Amino acid sequence: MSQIPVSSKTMELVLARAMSTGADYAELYLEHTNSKNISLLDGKVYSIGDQLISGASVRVYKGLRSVFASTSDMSEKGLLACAEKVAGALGEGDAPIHIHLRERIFGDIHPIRIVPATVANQDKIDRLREADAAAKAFHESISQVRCSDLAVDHCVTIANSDGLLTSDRQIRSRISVQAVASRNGEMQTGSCSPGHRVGFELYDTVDPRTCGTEAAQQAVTMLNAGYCPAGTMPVAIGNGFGGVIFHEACGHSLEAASVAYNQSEFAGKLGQQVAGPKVTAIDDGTIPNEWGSINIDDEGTPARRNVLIENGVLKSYMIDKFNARRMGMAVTGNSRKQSYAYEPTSRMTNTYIAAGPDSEEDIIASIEYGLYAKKMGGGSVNPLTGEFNFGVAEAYMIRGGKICEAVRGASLVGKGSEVIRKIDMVSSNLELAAGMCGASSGSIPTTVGQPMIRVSSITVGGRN
Amino acid sequence: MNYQEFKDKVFEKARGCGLTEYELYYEQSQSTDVDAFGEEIRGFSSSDRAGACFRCVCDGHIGYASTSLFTEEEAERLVDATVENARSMEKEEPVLFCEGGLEYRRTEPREVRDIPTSRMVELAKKSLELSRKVDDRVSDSSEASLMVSHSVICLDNSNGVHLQDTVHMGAVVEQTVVKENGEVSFDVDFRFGNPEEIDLEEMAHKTVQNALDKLGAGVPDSGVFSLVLAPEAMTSMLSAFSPAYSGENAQNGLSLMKGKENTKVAADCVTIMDDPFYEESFYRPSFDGEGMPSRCKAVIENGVLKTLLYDLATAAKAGVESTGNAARATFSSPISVRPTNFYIKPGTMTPEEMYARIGDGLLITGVQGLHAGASAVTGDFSLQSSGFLIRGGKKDRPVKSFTIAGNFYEMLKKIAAVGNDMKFNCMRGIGAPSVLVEGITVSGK
Repeated sequence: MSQIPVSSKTMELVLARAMSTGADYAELYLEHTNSKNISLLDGKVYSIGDQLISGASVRVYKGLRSVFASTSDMSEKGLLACAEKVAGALGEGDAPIHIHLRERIFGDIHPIRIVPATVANQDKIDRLREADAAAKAFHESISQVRCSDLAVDHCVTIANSDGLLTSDRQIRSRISVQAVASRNGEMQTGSCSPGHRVGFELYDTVDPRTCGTEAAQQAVTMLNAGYCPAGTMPVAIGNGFGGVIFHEACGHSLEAASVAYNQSEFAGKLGQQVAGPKVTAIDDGTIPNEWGSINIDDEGTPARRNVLIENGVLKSYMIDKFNARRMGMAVTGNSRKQSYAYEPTSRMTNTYIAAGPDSEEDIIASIEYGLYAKKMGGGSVNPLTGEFNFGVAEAYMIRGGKICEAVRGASLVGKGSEVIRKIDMVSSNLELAAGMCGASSGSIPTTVGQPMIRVSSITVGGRN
Repeated sequence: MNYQEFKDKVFEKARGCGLTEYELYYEQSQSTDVDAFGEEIRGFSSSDRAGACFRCVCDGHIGYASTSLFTEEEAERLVDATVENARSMEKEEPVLFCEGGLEYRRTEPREVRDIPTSRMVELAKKSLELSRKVDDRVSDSSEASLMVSHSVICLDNSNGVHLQDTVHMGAVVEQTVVKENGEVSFDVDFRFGNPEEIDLEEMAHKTVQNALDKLGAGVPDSGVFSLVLAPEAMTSMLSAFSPAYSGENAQNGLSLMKGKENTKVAADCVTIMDDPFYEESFYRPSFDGEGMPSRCKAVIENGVLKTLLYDLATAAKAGVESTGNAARATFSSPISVRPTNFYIKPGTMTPEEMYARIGDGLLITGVQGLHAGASAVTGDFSLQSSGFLIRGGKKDRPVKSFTIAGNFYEMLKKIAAVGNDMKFNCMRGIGAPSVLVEGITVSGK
């Protein structure tokens, strides 16, 4: 049920026009996306975002030059004007180019049972009310609850001058709950936001009440917590969203967008021991119905499972077509972008640290004085220097090998290449969690994940 | 079909559905970006987009839907989808759309001319060449980019309101990377205006010098220190905590500024303005996201909270007038309440006088990770920072890999001085001078 109203003949014309001034490769990306976001605030339907995104982009390469243009005008005239723009920016000429597109269908391994557009607002609102009620019922200090249901139906068609014509339809659903606990003029927040590449059947496996309770519990725990001490100490990072540490400390620096320009501390290190021997990290865009999964990337390359680091040895980067040229390496199915308006580049899909040999109990017991970062917040990194930071949403002190009092306001900072060497224990309870990742090609759904790990020493930013 | 034709179709369909209150908001923009890296142009991109958001009232509630497809069929679908959404809404809407006949203050948009592609490429390359000439430690992973954009915003509603604003924007961004003995440091600078008129040479000298100054950074000792937050760092923090001044967040129990009007929320030396007509800004709208006239106001004046920011609905709820702060992040975003051009009013002290006053402490030039390490709801922050030691009243050696932590709303009360070195970020519509604060926890060695 592709909604994209452009014939393959038009696509051939557009690609030919784009290449007419000497480009050696041209690519056309067409998008039609419906996105709906219903939010409840204080138990009432507070906002409904309902968006149709429709547009196209044309990109050409000539050697190591890339020119990109996008337009929201999907008429043949609009697309040709866009092609004209890239051709004009590249050079002059009027070479007669003939493109013959052959449609190709890559398998779809993400079955969707209930397409979001077929679900009435009310059905979604009912689920959000359950989350809201559960959060409020958890404790009297819960003063505000925000819940939202996001459903995205993203159709793309990609055609290129190699003759490829292919499409993908990516449907994703996510519920987010944020709870605020307050007392005596102080506020703390907690959140829970699971999502998958599924339709409304999300709620068959995700109970909104559990989400509400989890968010509320975190807010109340943090309200009762004192401030985290500052200093350098061992840290146990919990499973699931804890994997954001690998995403920030290492994942971004393994993207060709940094590596190809020598702007990464991991550039030129393939085959070298870069992490502790217990660390195996994988980027896998092929996990059925997982939040960050794709059938094809935004250049039409099928998704793959890429082992990035195996037993601490750097095995692979994540590489898009343009940077593949610069690096002289093969693409890995990681080229992604938010929408037609962005130029794609290498990005992560579902990226996680694989299960290891230790147990959670052993990790906690091994720490005399340190921090247990149970739930991570978001983070960021500068791949150039590898310096990263992230917030800890729920943290506890560890003393004498035991989890003690909760602490608030903790953040972890360090340098990626140093911190992954310090991961010296990895447990077996791998869990994945949904997130949104922002970079030059926009905000895209990515999954992070890990089992519980121990970092032998890291700077903890706190207030005491 | 163009905007005018599409608007007529949408309004015709709306009337046909029996709607009496409705509005169409339209945004159209064109932009060109050139990105130079090493000896070459790494990227050239151009975008041309348009989108519209329709809102209508059903049973006292406002619904939204947006599109970027301008066809007759889509005009009908848009109205139907909006009606369905309005019927599901439960948010209280004491006031609906803006009335006709209001007065608007118009400022001429600051002109930024289009530059031929070849000229943009030339300037971007020149900008990198200039920085390489300054010092041979400048690495080939430095980048420079140029940007020019033009946009038009229109708003029409069933009260006969018809408004239009034009915005031009231009910028040069340099990220200069220097390498010495395997150590990497960098500096990023933005300049706004017509790229052909920006002093690229001065910019190159400054970013190279700043990047070199950061080489050899150590980790500072942990402790409680007095800090000078440089304009970029203070701007980042003000931006992260600005949601606290939204009347919407206050009414929703998501701001500690709730009910604090006319009380002291900051030190005497702190005045925070929201000025849509701010001279330096390129975005100087005559109307806000609901079509209300833009207004200049002090949010905090000499430490006293004068007003929160409001759109029509939140103002009515609070029993005040709209401050003209209905914002749409993009054409498709629901209306939220946000500042337009938000800044801390500069004081008289120079940064050097601030270092002298501190004696021993830290100068913070950069803070990172605000989306994770700062909560506008609670005010708590714990941020990865970089900067310089201040010793004996002077800027000393560079430091990095530490955090500063505290509570922003408490920190505002502890600002001891505000600098005269205002820096306004036109891309984000926010700015600040240096500020001097006492008693901030630093977590380093």
